[in-house]
Amino acid sequence: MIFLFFVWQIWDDYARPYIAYQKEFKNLLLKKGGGESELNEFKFGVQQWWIEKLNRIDRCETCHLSISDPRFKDAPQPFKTHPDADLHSFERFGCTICHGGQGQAASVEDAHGPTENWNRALYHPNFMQNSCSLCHGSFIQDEAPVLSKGRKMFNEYGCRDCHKVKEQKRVKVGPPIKKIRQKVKTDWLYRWIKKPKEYLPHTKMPDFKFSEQEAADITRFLIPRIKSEEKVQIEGSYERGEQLFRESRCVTCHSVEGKGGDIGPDLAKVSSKVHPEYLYKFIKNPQGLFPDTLMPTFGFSDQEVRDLVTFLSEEYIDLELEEEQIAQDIKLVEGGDVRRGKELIEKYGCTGCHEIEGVEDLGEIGLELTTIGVTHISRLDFGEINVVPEHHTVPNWLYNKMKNPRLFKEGLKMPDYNFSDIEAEAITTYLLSLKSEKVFPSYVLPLGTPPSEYNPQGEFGKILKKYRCLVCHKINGLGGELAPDLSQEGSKARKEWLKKFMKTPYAIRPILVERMPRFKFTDAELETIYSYFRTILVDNSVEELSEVVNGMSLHNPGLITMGKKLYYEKYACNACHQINLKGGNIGPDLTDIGEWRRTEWIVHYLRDPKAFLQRSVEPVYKLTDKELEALTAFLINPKKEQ
Amino acid sequence: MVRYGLILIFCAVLLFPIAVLIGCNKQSTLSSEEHQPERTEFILPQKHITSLTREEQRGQVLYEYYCVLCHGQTGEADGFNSFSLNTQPARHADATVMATLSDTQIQLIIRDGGLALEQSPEMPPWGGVLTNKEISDLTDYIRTLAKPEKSKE
Repeated sequence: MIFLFFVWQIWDDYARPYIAYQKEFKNLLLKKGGGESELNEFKFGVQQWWIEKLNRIDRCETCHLSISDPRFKDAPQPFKTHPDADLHSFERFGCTICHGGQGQAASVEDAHGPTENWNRALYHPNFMQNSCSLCHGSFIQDEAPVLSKGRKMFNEYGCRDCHKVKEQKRVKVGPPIKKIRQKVKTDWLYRWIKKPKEYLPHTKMPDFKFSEQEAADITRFLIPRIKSEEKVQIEGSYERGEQLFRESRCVTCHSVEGKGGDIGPDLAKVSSKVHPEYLYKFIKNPQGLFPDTLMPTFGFSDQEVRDLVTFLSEEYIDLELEEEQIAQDIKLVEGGDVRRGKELIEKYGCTGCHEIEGVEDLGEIGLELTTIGVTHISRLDFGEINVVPEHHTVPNWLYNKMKNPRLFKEGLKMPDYNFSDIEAEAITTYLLSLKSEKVFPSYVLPLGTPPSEYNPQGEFGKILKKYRCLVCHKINGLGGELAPDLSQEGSKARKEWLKKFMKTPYAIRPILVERMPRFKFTDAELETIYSYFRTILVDNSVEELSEVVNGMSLHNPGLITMGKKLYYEKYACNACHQINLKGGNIGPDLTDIGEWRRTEWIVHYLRDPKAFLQRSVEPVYKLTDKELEALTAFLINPKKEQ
Repeated sequence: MVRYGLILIFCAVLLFPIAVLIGCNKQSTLSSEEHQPERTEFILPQKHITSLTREEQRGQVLYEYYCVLCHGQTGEADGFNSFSLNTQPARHADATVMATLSDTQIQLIIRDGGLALEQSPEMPPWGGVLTNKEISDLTDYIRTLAKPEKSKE
């Protein structure tokens, strides 16, 4: 009996699951040219990293024996070299802090999971970046592109409106629904509620999969008194409207049949949606009707707005929409039940994203997500869907929820956002990063920048709001990406040029489409803008260059000739920049640069282009002082035709 | 074997219209009923397949930011700015040309510009912008652009 027990013990010891891998590794090491001493040194047994500060014991190296050995770059798993071994040392971080899985396990199944008693299985590579936020904070950007995309989507789609996350503010992402009867046509609203993507394929409004009757009920509640839609004639000139539409560069923000920007809604079928009277009022004073709109106040005269509305109503109609269809939709809405409409709005939580007249905001109606990344699988309902145990994980549940929110059972309320695989992965990655966990302080290394708190007051603040400058431009970290950063504009631009440009903007880079709209700035406004730029938005290292510039002999013909030679022959600036219409298309046209940029700025930029913009595609030349002087002299003086 | 295959195809051709008819019937009954929930299968995330190593992937990001403007997306020297240059940029997709350049030479040209190898100065030096590691990643990626099978034709 004892003998049998003894034999069994030996056999059990011999058959430990990792021994096979370690034997295989030894053979492989021989093939990879491991010396005899290396082979002799190798000891069978469990290998582990004990990371005390992270409270982890990771035994992954027991099988993944060569993750830090570059000779195993092309070896099969589990021996492959870790591709990012140089980024995080294994001795300091271990494995499971990023990858998930059960570090102390000694068998493949237990370590990789999921198992009955270990919830956190190894993360699928597509969701790996969720772990970055643990040490690097939630504002990490380029270093974790999937995670940062997920975070952006989470905010843009208003997930926070229905799901509570601690320490995050709730901002209603949809427009307020007030006096909607005056804004949109009844039949349009019905079709919109039924299937938003049919009108705008890229809208963020999700599909609630309402039946015809439900959509009619809701529409009836929102528009209880349907008056016969009499047409109010707004008289204007189509031609002048078209010209204004072009000059105002509406397509910078609005697309028309897929061409144009994505900041505002597509306009291709706008007159089948909105009443012309509303369009008139909105273009005249957008912020008066809808305080949080991104639309700037252009300052059009009454006649100009009439021209624009005429153009929009005649040009942008849904041509496939038939009168019969409109009549039929209105009839359906007339048969809708107001009371049931309100019930549906409350049930599906429309007030999460929209402020709705006559309906109380019920707060967040969805599941709280503060710790969704570490929630136990048993708290997630797989409903009627059978999943094999090895796929029974939190990430898989979340991914499927994103792809098809009502998959698990009937009667679920979450609407369908039509996410693509990539989008669903990004948002799942972000959700997994919501853990509310803290690591040991010495491991914390925040990356990326938290949202800027720039909020200018006074006259300049008013101008920024009126023209919505920060939709496209960025100042001190706040604002859009579409147009140049203005944080140092006071050190860059010359006053006369800036005023001229603001009155009639043009494209500074030859390849770009003209995008800055033509606003009707008053002279007083331009004065305010420039004085704010020149006093607040300056870079001191540029201002300090005045003395250097004063010491340069910038009108010396010999220097100018030398600069010209450097420009065309040594540095070949013409590869990317144009002068007198000759040269490349990447950088700005330099013909009149002396007129629009301050000389200090030119010197500063030539010295170190990256100091201004880290992502600039400008190469950094190590110019000597003489070369710097010569190039500056060449650039700021008028250039004759070559 | 061939005979079985033919029989199978024959059957499939015969059955197809019947299947379509049944399918249409089913659809028409479905659309009349409201509230038919969409049921799809439980799906798993698909691994993004790439043949590039991690170094090459990092190089690709840099290539698409700094190089494609002239050298083109696929290394065919057809970037939008290539047409305004005095000399044609190097064709990274051309295996015969690329074979004559060593990694050190490629890295030198990226770091110090075209003049370093007595080529056009229109290729600027990127040494002040990219680190040595980045230049080496970029070189790895540029190597993947050469397609030997094309140059043989």
